[in-house]
Amino acid sequence: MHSERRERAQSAAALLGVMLLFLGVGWAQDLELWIGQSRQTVDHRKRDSKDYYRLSDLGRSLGLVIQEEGDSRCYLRGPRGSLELLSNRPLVRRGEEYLLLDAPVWRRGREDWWVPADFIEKLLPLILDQRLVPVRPGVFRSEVIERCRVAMSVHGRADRLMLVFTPDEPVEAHLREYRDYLQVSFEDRLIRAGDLERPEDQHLVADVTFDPTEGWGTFRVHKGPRFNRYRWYRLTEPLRYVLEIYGMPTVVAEMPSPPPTGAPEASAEALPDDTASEVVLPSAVPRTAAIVIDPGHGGQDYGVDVPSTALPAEERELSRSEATTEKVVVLEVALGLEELLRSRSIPVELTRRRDVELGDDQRAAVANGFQAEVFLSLHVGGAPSPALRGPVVYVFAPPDDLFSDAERVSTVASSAGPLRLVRWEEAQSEYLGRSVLLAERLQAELNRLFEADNHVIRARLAVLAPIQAPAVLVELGFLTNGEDRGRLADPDFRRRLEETLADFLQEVGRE
Amino acid sequence: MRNLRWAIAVLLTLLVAVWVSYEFYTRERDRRAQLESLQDESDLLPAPEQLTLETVTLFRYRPGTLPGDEGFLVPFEVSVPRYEEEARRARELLSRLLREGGTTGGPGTQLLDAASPATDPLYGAAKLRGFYLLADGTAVVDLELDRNRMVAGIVTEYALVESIVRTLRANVSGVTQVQLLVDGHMSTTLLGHVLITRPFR
Repeated sequence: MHSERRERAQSAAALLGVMLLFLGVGWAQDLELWIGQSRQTVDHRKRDSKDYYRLSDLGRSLGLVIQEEGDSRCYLRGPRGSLELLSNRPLVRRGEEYLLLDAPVWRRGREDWWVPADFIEKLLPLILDQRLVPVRPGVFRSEVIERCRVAMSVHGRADRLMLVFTPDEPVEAHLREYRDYLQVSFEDRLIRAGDLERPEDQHLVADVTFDPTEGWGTFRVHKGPRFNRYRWYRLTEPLRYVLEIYGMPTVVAEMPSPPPTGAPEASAEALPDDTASEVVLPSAVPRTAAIVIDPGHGGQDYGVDVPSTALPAEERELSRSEATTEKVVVLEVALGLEELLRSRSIPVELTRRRDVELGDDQRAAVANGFQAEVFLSLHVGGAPSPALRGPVVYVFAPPDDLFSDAERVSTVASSAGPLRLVRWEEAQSEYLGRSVLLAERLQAELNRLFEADNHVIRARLAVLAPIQAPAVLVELGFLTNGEDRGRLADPDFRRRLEETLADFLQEVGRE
Repeated sequence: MRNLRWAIAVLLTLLVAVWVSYEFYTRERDRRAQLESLQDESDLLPAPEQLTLETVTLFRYRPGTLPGDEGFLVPFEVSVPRYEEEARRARELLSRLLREGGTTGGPGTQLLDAASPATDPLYGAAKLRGFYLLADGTAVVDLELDRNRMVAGIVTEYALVESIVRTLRANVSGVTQVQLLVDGHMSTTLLGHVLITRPFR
């Protein structure tokens, strides 16, 4: 009898121990949320070796509203929007988009929903007005995000619109271009839209909207039918961000055109709206351009971008859209050069005519599609040392493990006879000899203009590799060198630079 | 008396359970702390004081020069812990090059104008994420680049590539070619210019 009791006692104690052990394990893996000085815990469970956290605990701690609808749907509402969760699905709906989780959402029972670990860092920030900062694994601290009000005003001009964004706090803003709109977003502040002025004329800008749920609050400037290009810069005292929108020019050089045949150029009004497309790929009908000029970089790819802090005091007032950003300098030179060449009746095309990002393959596709006779990629140099100065011309250096001729070129049969196919990344190899001759001459011309003594460099450059024509990449001085920077900011020097390039290309075209 | 025995049994069980839970909790906490501290795989290596040192020659960019110039790269000697395994050794050399390429002493230091690793816009802006030495002699170098700090440009990219390739070829036996990755992936270019889809020999 006595031993029976002892056994019962031992069993009970063991059971209690195991229960406490499980409790201990549970405590150890629970999520901690620190809201100010208050510590909240969120229950944890394992399912299919994935970590899950109880949604109701998250909602209670962060002030979110949870609403279950039927057996399979649940809404989580926060100050900046709501999420729709589906039982046993890894997809969470937010507005019109679906977001993917590492594991499916788990409905354990009525009003008992569990979410996988990545939900906390990936999706919760989208609907919260506070920031969840990971302190260490399993512990987050909630931080209040400072708010900032941004007013937007519209200033109209005959050929352009200026949209001025004025934040009431110092805050960094970024611009990103999409197909149908330009997006203006801000860093580290919860943005509230102040006065939002709409443009009266919707030809350049169709509308301006504010989406508080995108990032920390985002403005969208929807492009109008006559939108052509834009300029984005920052002004200080008081801090303002200016987005200048330019319309289509009255005399259009927007569409790549065949070599001049004497036909008059079309006016902007006569062109369809889609002619403002930034990437101009040739049509199926072969067209030729003697010269294809490629202004490097563009869009979010600024190229060499000398920070204002690195500039001498007298140059700091220059905005990044002026003389200190490679993508702007090369586009301006390319447009000037194009104008000069066209005035001399030399067929020329540009890979881009406005501030838009292109891949190397897109640039090469334009050159090869137009069967360019010469490809000139324009860049401005940047180096870790300010001592480097002057122009540098580059030609392609094939990789060391160059394919053999048999591997590089193959022939296939076609209805028009045998078709010769060349590997895309080594198309330039066949034109190297002519490219080098071109580079040597151009280097000499530019050295004279810059009073420099640089030499041609062979380099494994991505943009030159697929070009099926003599091709060079030229760096028009170094933005990291004060002397070159000054020259490139000087309109008179720019004009002489464009004339030197135009004279050189005209001479090459004659041969 | 019986009640007392029960009470003692329950109390002892509770104490044991609490002790087991506490033990589990502290071990888990220590494990997590240890995992956090091991973010850099190099911490898995033996401490330098447990190793013998060797002098190696690294190659870094000489400011003011262009690719193809005489002396585009300048050698400098440093002492590093010696690892028997070549991959670990290579990793140590590259980490050292990227950490101190712009500032460490040795021949040619006076030519460098980078003030400190914090302001070095070339080596200080690149970090070694991983290194692998394949059986065919391909050294795979995985880099993380701070694009905001690095001055974009062909010279910058070439300086970085050349100094990595030359440092490996000069010090690590069996390296026949060097394949560069950016952020763990094959990339077309290093920073927009230099083609890195194929290895450098």
